[in-house]
Amino acid sequence: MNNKGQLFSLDLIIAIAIVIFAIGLLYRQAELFQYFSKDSDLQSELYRIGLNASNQLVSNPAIVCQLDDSAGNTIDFLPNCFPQVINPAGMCPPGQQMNGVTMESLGIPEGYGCYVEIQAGFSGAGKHCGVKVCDNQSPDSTVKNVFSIERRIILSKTWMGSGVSKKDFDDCISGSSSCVLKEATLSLQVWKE
Amino acid sequence: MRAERGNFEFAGVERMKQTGLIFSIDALFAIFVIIAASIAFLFLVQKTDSELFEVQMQRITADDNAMVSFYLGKESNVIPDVFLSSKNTAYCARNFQYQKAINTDKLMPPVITSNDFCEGS
Repeated sequence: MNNKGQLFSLDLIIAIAIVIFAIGLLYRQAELFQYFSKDSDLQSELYRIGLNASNQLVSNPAIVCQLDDSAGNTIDFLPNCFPQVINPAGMCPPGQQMNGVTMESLGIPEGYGCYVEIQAGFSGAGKHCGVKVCDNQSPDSTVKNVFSIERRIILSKTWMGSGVSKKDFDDCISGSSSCVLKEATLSLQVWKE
Repeated sequence: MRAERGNFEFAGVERMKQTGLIFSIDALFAIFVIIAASIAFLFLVQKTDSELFEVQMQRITADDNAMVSFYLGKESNVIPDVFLSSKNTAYCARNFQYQKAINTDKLMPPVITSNDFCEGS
């Protein structure tokens, strides 16, 4: 080496080249990792807000069905059960607001949008009921990241503010065909504006 | 001094040749550092939450099905699947709460009606 005037060996030069290449590779990976990590954080936040909102929606006593005893006293609340919003003619107008449901009550912070719709094919009339509970319309096409969840629920054919009577409820849980509770699907969409 | 250093380096190359080493200790050290850094990086990379979300979604769906089954008196809808225990818990917890709620007499202890599905009799 001294005869050739080399200060470092060829191995060391190769090693330095490999190290520089590896550092460059790691830096690139770190940048990608940082990007995906940030994207994942945003996605996780949206997911948690949406999931919490859906849980609030199906379990909040101010929203779900009440269970009344024979004297009309509320003895329990029924998660996953919603009073059916109907007008006296039995129609189910789309866009009707449900009482007690706001974005705040669902734990959705400022800067987010939400849309809730209940779809149910009722026996007899066969109508579908679209019930909005959030102020916003469904997200437009410019919104890229939308959390969406569907929950199976029960609709009670009772007026808002009145509960399911214990007698009616007993009929349902015993599998009677005259059950006043009907299956439906609630879909919730949450997105960041 | 220079001569001594030259002799030392020459001796090192000779020793490499004698021991059969192709690369010097510098190169081996560099390779070791690269491998160690790669392994450390792999351990530092966080897994995405998508798998956790998927499991949570499945559990929610199972619990919702159990609740609806309870309301409609369809025990047979609580079918075995990977979340059977969760569904059973949701179903039977709801049943127990209902039984407790209908016993509103504060002077009497709640009388829980036996449920074959939940009690396993």
